[in-house]
Amino acid sequence: MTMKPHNDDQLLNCAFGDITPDEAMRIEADAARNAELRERLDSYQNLRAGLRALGDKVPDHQLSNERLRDAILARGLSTTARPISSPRWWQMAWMPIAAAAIAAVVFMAKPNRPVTPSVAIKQGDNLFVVPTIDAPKASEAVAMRVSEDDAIAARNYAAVLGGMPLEGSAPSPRQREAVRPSPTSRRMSEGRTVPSAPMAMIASGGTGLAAAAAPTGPSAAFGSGAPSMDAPARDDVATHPIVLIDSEPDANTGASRATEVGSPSNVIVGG
Amino acid sequence: MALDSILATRLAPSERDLNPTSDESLVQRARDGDYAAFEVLYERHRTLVFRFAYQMMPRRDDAEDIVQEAFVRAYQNLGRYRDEAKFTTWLLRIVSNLCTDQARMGNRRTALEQQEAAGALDWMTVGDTDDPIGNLEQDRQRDVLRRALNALPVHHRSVLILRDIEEREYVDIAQTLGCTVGGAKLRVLRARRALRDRVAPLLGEE
Repeated sequence: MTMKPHNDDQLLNCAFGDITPDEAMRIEADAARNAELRERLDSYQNLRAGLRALGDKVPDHQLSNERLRDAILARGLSTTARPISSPRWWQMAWMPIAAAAIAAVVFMAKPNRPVTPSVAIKQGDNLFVVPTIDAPKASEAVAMRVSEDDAIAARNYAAVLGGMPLEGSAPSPRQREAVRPSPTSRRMSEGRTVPSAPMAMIASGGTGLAAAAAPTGPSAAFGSGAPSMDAPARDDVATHPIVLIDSEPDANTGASRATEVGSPSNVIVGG
Repeated sequence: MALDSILATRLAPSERDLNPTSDESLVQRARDGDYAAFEVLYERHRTLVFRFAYQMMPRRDDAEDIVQEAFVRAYQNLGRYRDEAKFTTWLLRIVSNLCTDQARMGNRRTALEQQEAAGALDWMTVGDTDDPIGNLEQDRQRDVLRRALNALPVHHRSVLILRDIEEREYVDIAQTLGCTVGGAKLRVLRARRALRDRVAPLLGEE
């Protein structure tokens, strides 16, 4: 019978009792015939015995209940009768549930009125306004600053509508997007019988100002001295208050100055 | 033999008499606000925890501090204890983590006056046999082994203490370490290899 070679891991497991009795007997039998194997196995068994002996040299502790109680109290915990509750799912879920409930209440309490912004702009000596039928208040006016390219694109858009020659180069995709009816305006016009109006572009000098679309408003009006492109727009202006928003801030409040005018005679209307 | 049965024979009669109920019911009572039940758990298991902590950092003061901190944290987090694991396993896991943190922070002192004092006391006490030279050799080997064990990385040391000194079952070790039984066996084997590699040159020096 030939002796199978054993590696150190097998010998370690044998010495520490982590192999089956059959394997242990086989290794012991091999070790009985091999002095070198016997020596290695003995050294590992001594190692195990030495480790076990370390467990016998543990001194007595001086831990006491009073010491633990002091430590617990020092940590701010209580040792009096007080249930220590384990975290339950409903204790952790109250916050998102409450947030969802508040959001639902706010959503349901919100009045269902369409947002129809209007814009009135004063840019130097030129006054521009985009009135809307449903939003006569100045607080509902919305304006954003756009570049000259966007203004040119808007003029071109209006020119196409009115059969006038185009100005400058062809509008870029971004510019086309600027004069296209916004999704918001499309949404606002849904459910109504009136068509969706494009975004109104108003320009003066190097920088223009664009107004958000009015669902039922006029199509566009551009530039200093430019004619109104849509007659109904002037009618709308005439029947509604016109608010002019100055681009320069008010000295007292710091906000853009707003002026309500009754006559549209000095106002160029677009939309 | 399981460690619990060994401990049962080593514990003082007064400590053994403190076991009227199971750990689980004591834990439940402690959760319900019965601090006396937690004290029973403390008295029942503090020796076990102290033994492990002392092997991890062989200075009695440090080990006692670790044990105390472990029980404070156990009391603090009693609501998080899941009954699937044994309470002692959960405790040992807390202690193991604390010892690991302590070792990582580098606060563990290597030269231990108390251990030296204990070693000096061993000189003056009668050994296991009547052979004084044999006792000296045993002490030397034990000292070598202790130094080799302390020089091991903390993850090797903890599994060796759990398995080969405290003789915990592999299932408990796996739960303590948060791994599988096979993983625990592999870790123990690696730790034994590491210890063997450290002990061999130390024993061969002289």
